Amino acid sequence: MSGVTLLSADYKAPGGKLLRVRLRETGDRIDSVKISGDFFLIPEDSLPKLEKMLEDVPLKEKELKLLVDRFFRGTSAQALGVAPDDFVKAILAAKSGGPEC
Amino acid sequence: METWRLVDVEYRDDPFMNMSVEEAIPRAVGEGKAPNTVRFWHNSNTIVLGCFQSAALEVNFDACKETGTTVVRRFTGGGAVYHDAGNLNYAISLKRGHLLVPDADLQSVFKKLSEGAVEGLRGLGVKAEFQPINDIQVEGKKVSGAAGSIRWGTVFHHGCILVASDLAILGRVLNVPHLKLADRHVASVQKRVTTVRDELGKDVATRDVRDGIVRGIENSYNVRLEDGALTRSELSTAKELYDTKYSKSTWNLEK
Repeated sequence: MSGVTLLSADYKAPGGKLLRVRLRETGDRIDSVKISGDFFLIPEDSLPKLEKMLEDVPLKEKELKLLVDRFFRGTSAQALGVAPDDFVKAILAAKSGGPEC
Repeated sequence: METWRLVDVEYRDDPFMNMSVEEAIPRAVGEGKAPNTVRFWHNSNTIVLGCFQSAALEVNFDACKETGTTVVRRFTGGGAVYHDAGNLNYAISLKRGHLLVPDADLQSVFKKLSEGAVEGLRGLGVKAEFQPINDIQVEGKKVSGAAGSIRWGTVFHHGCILVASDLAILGRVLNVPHLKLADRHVASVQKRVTTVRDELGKDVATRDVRDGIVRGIENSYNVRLEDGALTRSELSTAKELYDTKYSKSTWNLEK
């Protein structure tokens, strides 16, 4: 059985805002994730939905991209200062950044 | 000419109540219970967090304790700002579909609804310009930041203008991530922000800036601002929001 690893990253979208990711990884999958930062997202209460949808998703670009795209299509959420792809990059940055110090 | 309501309702020493009123107004405007509204207000020493920010990551709580700074979270996104008596806040609530902001696009809202403040500051002699995404700058330095939402049937935009704020405290109470500073090629918060006082080279009252912004809004949008008060319904909503949301550490700190 795999252990839980805490991962984190601060990711600045080019010309935009900051995404701060703190996640728990189990066996190369997201156990839980918290996304914070100075970006805009409307409706505001959609962020917890994205965090929930990310649970149990493999920490792989293709799977993350599919999930994030599905979130933006399904909720008609509008982000400003960050693009949908920036959420994917921020999460992958946490993975490549290694365990939280 | 269209008339908007102008309210100067504030609770200088109660940032939680200030934020409750900030939400009660757009709710009432969207429900058709209040007219389109512009509000001006002040806070005493307060950090106002964006709704998606982590208090633990953004706030230097030791410095807050030393300086008597309160932390409150707003309902809009964007970054943390520091408020004190030298900081003027304004908020514009327009019923959704208003011709000034017909598109449900937040970037267009920021641009259009910053024009009044830009015009007002220019009228005072400050060389202000809107800087996407959500800032007003003077020669590369931020003098005002805005946030907003499209919610409850309302297009909402609010901003804070650094009139004569204590930038030294601002630099202490907020943990500004290195990534954010590096991106702008400047070494500290103090060096990338400015105040109306510093730009004009003389003391200026927030009241004078408020009057300038009123003129800027009236001229930019061809509207008349008429002094008004909050309705009983808005005050009742604000009190409920205070009790259930803005006075609670679960809302303000636990993200």
